[in-house]
Amino acid sequence: MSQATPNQKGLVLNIQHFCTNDGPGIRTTVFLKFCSLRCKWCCNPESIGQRPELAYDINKCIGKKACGKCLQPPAPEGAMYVLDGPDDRVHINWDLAQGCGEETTSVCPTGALYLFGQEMTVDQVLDEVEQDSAFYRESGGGVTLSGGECLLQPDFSTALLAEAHERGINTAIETAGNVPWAFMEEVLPHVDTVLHDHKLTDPIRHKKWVGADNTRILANFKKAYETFPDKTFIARTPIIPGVNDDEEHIRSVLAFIRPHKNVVDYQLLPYHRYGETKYGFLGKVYELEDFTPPSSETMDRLRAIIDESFGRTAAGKTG
Amino acid sequence: MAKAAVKLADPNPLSAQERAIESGKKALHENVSERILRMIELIRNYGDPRLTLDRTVLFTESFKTTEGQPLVLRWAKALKHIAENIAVTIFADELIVGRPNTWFGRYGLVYGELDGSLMKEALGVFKAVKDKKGQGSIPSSSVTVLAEDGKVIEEVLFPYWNGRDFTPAFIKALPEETRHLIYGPDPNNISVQTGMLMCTGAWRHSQNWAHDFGKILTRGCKGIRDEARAKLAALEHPYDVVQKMPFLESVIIVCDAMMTLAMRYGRLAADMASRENDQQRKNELQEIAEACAWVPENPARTFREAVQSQWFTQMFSRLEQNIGGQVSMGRMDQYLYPYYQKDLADGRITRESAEELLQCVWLNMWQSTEVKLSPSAAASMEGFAHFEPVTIGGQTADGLDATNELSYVILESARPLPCTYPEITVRIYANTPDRFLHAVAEAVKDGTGRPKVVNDENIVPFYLSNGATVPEALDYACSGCCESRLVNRETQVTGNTGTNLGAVVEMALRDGKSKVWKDEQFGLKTGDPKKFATYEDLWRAFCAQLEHFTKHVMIQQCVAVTLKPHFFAAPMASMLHDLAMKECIDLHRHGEFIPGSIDLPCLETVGKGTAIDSLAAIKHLIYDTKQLTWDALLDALERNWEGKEAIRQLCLNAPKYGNGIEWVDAIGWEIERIQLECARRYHVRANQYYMQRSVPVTAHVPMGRAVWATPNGRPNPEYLSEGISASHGMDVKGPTTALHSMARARCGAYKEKGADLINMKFTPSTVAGEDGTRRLMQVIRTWCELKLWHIQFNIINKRTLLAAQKDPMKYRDLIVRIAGYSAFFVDLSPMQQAEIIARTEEEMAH
Ligand code: SF4
Ligand code: SF4
Repeated sequence: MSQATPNQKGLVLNIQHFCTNDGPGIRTTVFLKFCSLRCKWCCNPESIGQRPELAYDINKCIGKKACGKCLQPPAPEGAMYVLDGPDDRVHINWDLAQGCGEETTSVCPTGALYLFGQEMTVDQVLDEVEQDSAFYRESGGGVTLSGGECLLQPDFSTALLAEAHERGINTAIETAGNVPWAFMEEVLPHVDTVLHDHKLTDPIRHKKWVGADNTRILANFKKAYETFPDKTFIARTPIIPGVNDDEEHIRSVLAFIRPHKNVVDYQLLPYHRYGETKYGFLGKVYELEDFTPPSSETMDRLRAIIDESFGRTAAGKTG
Repeated sequence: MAKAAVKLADPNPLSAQERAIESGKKALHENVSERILRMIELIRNYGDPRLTLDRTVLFTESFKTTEGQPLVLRWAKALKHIAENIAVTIFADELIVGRPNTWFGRYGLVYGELDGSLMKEALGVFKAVKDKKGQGSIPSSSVTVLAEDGKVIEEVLFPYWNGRDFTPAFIKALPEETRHLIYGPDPNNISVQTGMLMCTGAWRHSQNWAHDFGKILTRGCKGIRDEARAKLAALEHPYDVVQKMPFLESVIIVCDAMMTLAMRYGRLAADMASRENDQQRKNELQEIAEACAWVPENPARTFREAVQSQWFTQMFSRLEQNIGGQVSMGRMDQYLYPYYQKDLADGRITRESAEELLQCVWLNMWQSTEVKLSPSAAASMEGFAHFEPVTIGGQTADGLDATNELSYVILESARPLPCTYPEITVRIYANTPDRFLHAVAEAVKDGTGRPKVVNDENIVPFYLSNGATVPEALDYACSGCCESRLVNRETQVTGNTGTNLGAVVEMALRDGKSKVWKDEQFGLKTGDPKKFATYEDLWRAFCAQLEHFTKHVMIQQCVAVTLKPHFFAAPMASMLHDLAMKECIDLHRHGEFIPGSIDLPCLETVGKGTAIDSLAAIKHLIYDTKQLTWDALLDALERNWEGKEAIRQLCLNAPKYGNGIEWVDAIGWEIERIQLECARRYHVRANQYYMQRSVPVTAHVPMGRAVWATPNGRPNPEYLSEGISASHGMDVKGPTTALHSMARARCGAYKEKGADLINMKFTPSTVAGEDGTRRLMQVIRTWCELKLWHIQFNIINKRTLLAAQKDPMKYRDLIVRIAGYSAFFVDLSPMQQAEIIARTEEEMAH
């Protein structure tokens, strides 16, 4: 058991309130930065890197004439520039802007320039999380750590979740499981509900779409089920048409989880494109623009398989 | 792994209301009869409300003959004259009868004795609005005045009442400094207010009020008349003879008047029945005739009689006087329940027929529109604000759960109606049954803004600490927009006055001068902000200005309370009140302090979020982080931000109320404390405190026009923040954090901290399905636990609102929640429409 260390710092992307799909009840989800996978459909590209990253939303920029504050130091020369013509809003040279941090973004009055990721202490995070405690009480909710991959900051996650328990808050994590077993072993004692992803079954296709094969992931999950028999596990798959919307995938996940009593549910989440704009904010291209959200028929059909396996009637399971 | 995705089949589902409009259906749900649908159609097709003058014409006739007599007696005689002579009509399909007008459709009563001096000017305003509507611009609260009505106003009403009515007398009686603050530099102005304060005392006889309807149902007018007669016979003391006799005589006359009017309806119904060929309608008319022959004279025997008696009483109340927002219905599921239960058991009604009778009352209420003659009043209550809350649920006076089958019937009866009535108000407490809360959440999801919800966990302790007994406190009824009443103990019937907190900020920044009013000195000279060395200096200036405004609120209240007994009486409202009846004193004399009463005047506030955010921006930008200088900020404000977008952006991005930031929320708490402390300092009677509240109705829109640019980034003439909500769109952390901030910024340390209004807008997708219903229940339960006062929801897609602006005809039935009431979206002004659209849309995070 590691001690709760309220001053422990971690790299936090965002704290999102009133989340209803990240575990039981109304929850507050804390997104941590850094991920070891590279899912082609990732809707949180800002969560992947290990350090704070510059982001820019041109729609918020009011232009050089009205402002122009970022066109001078401390911003590196040429990192921000304006094109000729009537539109005097700022553009970014992402190569030159590489190292821009707090000192650059803080000059921007509109929030057009900002940073993805900030260092926060356990206490800072939980003080905000705790504001929703009345909602947790009424709904059976709590805090969920997500990412990125929250297990890649194991000490911070451990400290945070342990302290959440100290404060009487229910805890959950969302993990893809692609971490050394030791990290999982360290964090899981402080987690009430583990939401874990089964993105693809076939290791080769897994590597192709996600950037790593799933051998270690599956081994971790199996070991976790066995090492922590009292924890609640919920398996999840983001359904991406053409990638993993086949019945075979669903059935093989079921085959993997059903022998373990503590895996209580398997949830399917329809892929969405909400992340698309964020690629632009980071100066990145959204590679595979032709992913489309799954139809509700597909979702119903696949969910029916799960309901059958769990011995439930299909009705009432769709959101 | 993030937010891989949301669990939503249809990403943008519609609410029941939106579905009904899109598919051209007449009702939102099936539980509505053809009869009700026909009546709805007729009301909608009648169009704009028309002025109905009969009441005031008859009132005037009577008043001309009673000059010099005690006022309460004159009032009673006038009501009798009205009851004997006003036209009685019964329209096809009506089951519950009685109306002050002669057509089937919306109407507006006006009251010569209240503001007859404004009548002529108002005619011009009504015409201008109408003309604008004719030119195809977006319609707003527009009123029909027929040529004949205009003539009556010009030739009969205006000449008599001009100079005899309350409004100008009140204004004349104000100390000059107070008058100047409310009505501005022109000493002859009596119609338009400055917007620094919003003084409603001049717009209505009474503040929001709920009658003890149960009394009429159980005792009948006869029973009350008998009590008055007995009391009259027992008068002995010479002082009592003088003081109490006129009151008791008035009660007797009013009881007779109510019976007379009901009898006339009874005779008309009998007469129509005798000539009716359709057997079903014949039976209906006979039933109407029987009911009207029996109630309100006698105690009601059946559900139908109870409903008819209740309607007669509230209709009569409208003839008696204008109550702000009109008549509150009290705890309808309590006082009607015995009749419902008995009739159901005896097979006299079914649940469906009971629903239909209630729907008839709802349609009657819908037709009664509150038309305001003063432009300031109209702007503060847009979309024909009338709040006639029907309170259901909560706890009984015995401390038990009050929910009964009728609570459900009332709730369900309202759901199919594509109209703004009734205003169902649900009392929630810690143990509200889940079944009931589930039904409430389902109804909220319809998207018409009904029902609204008030919190026993806040309101019961409020009354307890202000002198009520436990059973009394447990028996409160919602009244007005989201306020409450103890119908037999409270006596404050004088309109309140709102303080424009945005203007208070401007006063602190401009040495007490208003930019919109061309540098008129409304506030104190608190000095040049550039010389404020610390934030504390600014805060002191703000407090001084706030106390200055508060003092004038109290001064005008004192004037209104003193003057009203010479202008108004309300014998019917008074005879239904235990204490007024006991002491034989008219409620409008509440300023003399009726023994045993809880008499709480009120400090209304408007623009709380605007003020907090303005002060927070200054503290953060000028003093804490030094990103801005006073010179730069004042200059940008003076230019209304023109050419100063970068500074405005800094201000917009400064820490904002509603986001769980402790020091920012604390400013809200402090603002309320200053007001409450100030009022305590000046209060006159032990145990009679000014309660502090934030229920602005739509006043935050016109009051925004009166305030120049504010440091929260708001330009003039944009609206101020609304209720106790954060500034529009500024609470970016979602509904849980917003509610937390609101709870924390509420000065609950003071027992006189009163009503607060919270609006929350969800997209239908956020509350879709059974999961969504549960979520909504959890939000309401948490709100209850946070001990907030009130909450209401708009469940609507933004695109629907935008579409309605483009195609008002198609969306003429679209109802939105404004303040404590719902209104047709197309009845609102463009500015108010924009305000609704800008309210933060809460979505569940995905
Ligand atoms: S500082 Fe921000 S708003 Fe100003 S020019 Fe740069 S990006 Fe635009
Ligand atoms: S695991 Fe999650 S955060 Fe990491 S790349 Fe995949 S989708 Fe993105």
